[in-house]
Amino acid sequence: MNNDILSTLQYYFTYPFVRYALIVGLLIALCSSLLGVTLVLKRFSFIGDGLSHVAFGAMAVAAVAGITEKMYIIMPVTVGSAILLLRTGQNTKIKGDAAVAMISVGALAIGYMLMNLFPSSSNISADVCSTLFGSTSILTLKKSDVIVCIIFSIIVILAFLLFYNKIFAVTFDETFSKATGIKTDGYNLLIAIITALIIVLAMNLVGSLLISALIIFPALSAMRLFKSFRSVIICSAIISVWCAGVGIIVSILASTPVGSTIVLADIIMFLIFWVISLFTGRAKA
Amino acid sequence: MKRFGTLLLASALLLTGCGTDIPVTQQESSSAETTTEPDFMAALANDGYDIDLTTLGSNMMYGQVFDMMNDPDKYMDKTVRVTGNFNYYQDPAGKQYFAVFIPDAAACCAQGMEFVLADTSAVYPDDYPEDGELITVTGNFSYYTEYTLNYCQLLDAQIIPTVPRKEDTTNEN
Repeated sequence: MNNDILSTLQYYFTYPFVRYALIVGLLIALCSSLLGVTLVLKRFSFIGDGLSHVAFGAMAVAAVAGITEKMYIIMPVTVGSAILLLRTGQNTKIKGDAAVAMISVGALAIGYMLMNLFPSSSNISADVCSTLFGSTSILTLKKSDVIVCIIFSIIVILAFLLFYNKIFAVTFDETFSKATGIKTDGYNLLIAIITALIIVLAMNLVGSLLISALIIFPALSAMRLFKSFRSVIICSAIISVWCAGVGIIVSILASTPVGSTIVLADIIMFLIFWVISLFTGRAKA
Repeated sequence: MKRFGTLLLASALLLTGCGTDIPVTQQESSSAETTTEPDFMAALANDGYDIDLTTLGSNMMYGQVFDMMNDPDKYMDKTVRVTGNFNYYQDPAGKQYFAVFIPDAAACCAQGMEFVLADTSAVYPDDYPEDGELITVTGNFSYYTEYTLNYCQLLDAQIIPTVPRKEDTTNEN
């Protein structure tokens, strides 16, 4: 039985697109987990959902306009929305969660409306389903997609490592950080841009609707057991990469939807960590 | 807690191991396509067919058919066997298209591959299956271009007794 699974896996790994899927999947999982802790702590857990819907709307606009390289539209629109939400979220009349919800459903509705009014293909439901749930788009990546993902991932990881201390400070106490001379606006802008980058990359992996799971679950699982910022981030990264790897492999072997399988692995891991936290006495009331 | 930390570390090392293996294979495939491509093509061959898609699960089949659409020259003139749902379409000009549809695991997306039967006297609907019926088609891979888009098709095709897809046989077991 085990040999069968291993030989099937070995056989499947001779396919370039399977190797591409795993490389991209693990990189996206790693990047999203790094930022996930910050977003959860800043009470912006749902920003992934909001921005992914914005990206969906932008993609619909690009499709209607007949733009082949949709990324030229999706990336700037998503980055712009991320900046609006994260940077000015504290100082506007419409506060964080309401702003996220408003942009989220608004972009989703506009995107779906545009796709219906000006269909770019004969199968709208498939296009929408594929974008919202990821479907198997991770298995249809080209080498150029993988290279783009590697470059963006390196940028995200480097930015996170270089500005780790500042991100830590801005995450926990923005007012105090500002008082000590840290340019909090600039770092919030950096977090916003990195968030948007990850969202756009992750749309290929799990689809628009499931991106939040990649950001939230690993961070929350790690927080069940670890308390320091660094240990939570390291644990979150390990959990996220592990779940993405397991999810992709299981979905290929069992022919299940890739995005849902990864999220299911994240949920199971969260439950395991929660149970362990009950025994180790680290669970919060 | 230390034990748990060790467990996490072990998991990380295990994944790091996977992580280093994959780029090496990736590197091989990019630096010397000939090293990986024959293995990849050889893996697809089965039962006398150059590309036997019936041995793949739905996700793999979907990904493989996408690759065939995306880079059709690589597969030109290869003999193909595929199982999927029969689909018929007639354009406004009256031209008929026959295709086998391969759905993904979520069943919301499908890749279609046209086929042209070797038997030129075959008439629709008498000599064709019901729309949506599970069929197995064999033929020689080819493609044509219309309005800058490539369309893949199986030429000299035959509809043979249905060979169950991999997940169909798995579910039965």
